[in-house]
Amino acid sequence: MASKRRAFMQQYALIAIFAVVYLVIGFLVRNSYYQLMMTLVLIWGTMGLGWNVLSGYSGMISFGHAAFFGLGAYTVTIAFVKFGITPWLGIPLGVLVGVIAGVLIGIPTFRLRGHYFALSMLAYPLAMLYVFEWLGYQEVSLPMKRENPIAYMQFTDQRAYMVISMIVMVACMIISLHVECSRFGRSLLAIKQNQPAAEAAGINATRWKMYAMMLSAGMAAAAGGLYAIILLVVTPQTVFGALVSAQALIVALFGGVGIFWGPVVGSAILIPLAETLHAELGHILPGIQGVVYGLAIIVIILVAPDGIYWKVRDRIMARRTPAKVGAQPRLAEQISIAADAAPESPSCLWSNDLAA
Amino acid sequence: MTDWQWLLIDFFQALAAGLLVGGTYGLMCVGLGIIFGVMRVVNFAHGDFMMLGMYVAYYLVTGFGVLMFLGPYVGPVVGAALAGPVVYVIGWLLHKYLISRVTGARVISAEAEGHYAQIILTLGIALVLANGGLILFGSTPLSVQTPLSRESWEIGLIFFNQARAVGFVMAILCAIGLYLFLTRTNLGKALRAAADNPIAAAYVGIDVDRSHRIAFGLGVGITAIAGGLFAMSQSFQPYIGFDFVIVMYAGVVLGGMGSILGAFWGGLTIGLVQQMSTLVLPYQLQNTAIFVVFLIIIFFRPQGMFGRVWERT
Repeated sequence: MASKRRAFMQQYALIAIFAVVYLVIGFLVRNSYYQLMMTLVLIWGTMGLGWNVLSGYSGMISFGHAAFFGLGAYTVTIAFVKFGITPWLGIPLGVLVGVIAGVLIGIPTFRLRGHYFALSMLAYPLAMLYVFEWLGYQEVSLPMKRENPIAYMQFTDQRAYMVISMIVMVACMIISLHVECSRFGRSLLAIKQNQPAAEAAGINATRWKMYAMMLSAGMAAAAGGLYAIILLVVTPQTVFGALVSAQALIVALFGGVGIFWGPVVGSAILIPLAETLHAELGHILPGIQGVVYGLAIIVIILVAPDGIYWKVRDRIMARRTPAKVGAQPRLAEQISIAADAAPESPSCLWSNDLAA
Repeated sequence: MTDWQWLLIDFFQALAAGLLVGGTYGLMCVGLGIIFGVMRVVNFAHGDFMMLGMYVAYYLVTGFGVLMFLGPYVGPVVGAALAGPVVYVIGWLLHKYLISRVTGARVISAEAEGHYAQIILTLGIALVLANGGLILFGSTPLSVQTPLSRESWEIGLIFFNQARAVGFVMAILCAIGLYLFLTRTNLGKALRAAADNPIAAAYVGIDVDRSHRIAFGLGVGITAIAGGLFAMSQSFQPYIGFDFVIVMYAGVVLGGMGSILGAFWGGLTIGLVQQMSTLVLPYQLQNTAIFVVFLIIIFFRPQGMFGRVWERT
């Protein structure tokens, strides 16, 4: 138990160091464009964390997390515009709406497995997209509040948004860490590896998957709500579009699946890359930024098919304990799990290894 | 004429339009169905291959005017047919150098794994194709010029747009040709064997990797032909792919994943639902209707219309 607690403290310390360093850099940056970019990194990181809780741990790949992101964004916006509810309450409300949507979507969709699950998830945000267009919410902007702007989460300083987004993301990281290292996360892992076997071993697959879906949807909705607050304009295409779902899984898969650092790393690399390319090259030759971004994703995924985090971790582990790790892949290959064995172990497990 | 007679005419008009559009959708879905059925790869770039097919057809017919001598009626159809082989080669090369690295033998042994890399890879290819298309072709919406798209045949009181009708007939012919290829030729049988059980197929001497390469090329080629046919009656721009890939997946899942010809019926259903929904729903909700019908069918018959039950798990 002592080593487990130590592993937890280690992870907490790492998260704290990361958050502080990130915010210090954020506060030193003067350019408001870069500040916005750094905030967007946190929002997409949160979105990726949400995706990871369901799809990364349980292996039920979702192509439709835009549904929750969009509901979060639209809840905040409509509450603000129509009912004058401050985003301070609007975002928790959005999270609630997201969680409820998660349950409603989960009940029928969990009957499906594998590709059928993944592809039916695709349908939800797109069905919602056209409904919101039809309802006349093609483009809703959040009005400026001259009096008492802080009560309406409106700051002149971009960095305030960065702090709020960081708090949300750190909360999601800590939740993910606890999911990973608890019975919850282990159950999801068992479901990912073999659902019938997990059920035979007494794991209530439906219940755990539903919990994962609720958490996941809530995080995605929080990311959507923050997105609305920061960009101040919400359109169905930008929050329900297929690219939003794609972005969630790109940051998570790119960074590393099944580990809460993965989406954070993925977002921290890809969002600045995409934004910089857009700003530097977009006006010279429209489309070139997409080509370079696409090529970057292709190249990196061929080099590190399980994501950056696992590749880097394997390198570090190999340097620290060459003999031990050298033996592992060969054993893993024998039982034909190949390189995919590594991502299956939650972060606290390998910390345990090191501590022991 | 009385009200209900008009209603009946509207109904049949929508039915006709749905069938004509659905035929082309069906062919697109067959292309995706081959790739999914044989390789079990979720190909997000599929819509962008359709986009390439549209541009190939456009440049052959209107841009460079290579096919001008065939006249405005035959030219577009031949252009669409030629888009197939061109995109086949592109798909074949992409599979050889990129996609085969994250699919094939490695995935066979670890079924649930390897999908992550495939998803990212095909998303990356989709981004490169769509944005590369923007650089090469520009963002102006285009369509393949043919007088067919402005004329219709009138049967009774129902109008059949000629471009769509010709596209429908071509799509049916292609689908029949493909069916004969898959059931009658050795290569087609090898593809089906590789789809059913890759390990057993390897044991009886089928080169599974080659089968996958041919299936991928064939899949994108077929969809490119469908794209070329569709381009006669629909304007397009480089970003059209992503909208269509979702409709195509709906069709493939409806037909039953793994059932190549089921995909055709899935696509046809999608076209019918899309056009018929305008009878009762506002125009903007066409696509919502598709997804709702899609979800309903999936929940009551998760293996799709022609899928096999064991495919679910």
